[in-house]
Amino acid sequence: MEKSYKQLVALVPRETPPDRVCFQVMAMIERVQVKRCRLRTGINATLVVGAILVFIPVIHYWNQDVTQSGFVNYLSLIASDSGYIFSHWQDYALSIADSLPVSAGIMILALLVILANSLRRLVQNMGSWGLHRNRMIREFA
Amino acid sequence: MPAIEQPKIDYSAQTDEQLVALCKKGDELAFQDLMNRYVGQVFNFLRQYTRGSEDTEDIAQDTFFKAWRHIKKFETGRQFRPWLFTIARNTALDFIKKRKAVNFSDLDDAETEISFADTLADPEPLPPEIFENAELANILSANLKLLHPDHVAVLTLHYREDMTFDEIAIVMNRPMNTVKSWHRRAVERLRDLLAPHLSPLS
Repeated sequence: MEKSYKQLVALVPRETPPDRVCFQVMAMIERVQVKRCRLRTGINATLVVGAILVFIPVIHYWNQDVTQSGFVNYLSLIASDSGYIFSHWQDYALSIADSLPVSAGIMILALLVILANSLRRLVQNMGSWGLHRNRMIREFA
Repeated sequence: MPAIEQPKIDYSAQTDEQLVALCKKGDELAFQDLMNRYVGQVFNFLRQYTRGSEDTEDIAQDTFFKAWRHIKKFETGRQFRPWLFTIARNTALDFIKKRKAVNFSDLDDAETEISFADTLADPEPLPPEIFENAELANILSANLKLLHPDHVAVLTLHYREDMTFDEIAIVMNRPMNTVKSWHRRAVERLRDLLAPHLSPLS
């Protein structure tokens, strides 16, 4: 039975799909890719600009923190009185650790990570955007 | 975001699953190759399923576009072909429901029941002379349009695309027994419809 029905169904002619089916699908994909890249580029550019803008007050805050905590003074001891530091290195290490501007440092680090990541993605997305746009113009315009 | 330009890969030598893995990494050329592999099968399946609707092309395009959009959700270890045909069938159903081109409602409920006929022995094979009938292709095409689209789908997938009932059950999103029941009914109905053309030959 299997064979005869297989033969029967095979009698219905197979139609070759027009080339435009694949062409249109690829064109749709390229359009979506261009849109996605544009959106991602926009988001990452905003993040980069935002991170740079936030950097200014954070640096100011860090500067204040460093001055107020005496961190700079402790550091300057390295140049002025290194003998004392070597003899009392444990006390010195505790004092310098205590005066570290931790919150400002974390903020700066976080901003640096965001900035570096956004910059990397911005460059990648801009590259992809260009490639997809060129492909769309070249092949699907 | 991966770039379009990829190192040279012999896509034709890759299995479907390998191509899917490449697609997941953003390789559009891998997807293009997958599409080229299945566009004919999907197009002909949809043509049968929608009874030769003029929307077949649009549905095929939509099917592949949806497949591309959801390819990242494709689970490793699954078979690609039944997954693709499931998308094709669902897309066709959406189109049909929108256009109301085919009335499913009168058959939908009855389709899941297993009738008395399903418990009978396998339908008889067709007489070999039938295949010498040159007109048969046209008669068959016309008669297939009288069957329920899901029955046609089962026939097409099983006899034309060589899918197992297990795979068809995945595509149709129904238990395998239901699919087997549909197959039996489709074969019997087709035989009844072709009976006037068979009798002079057999």
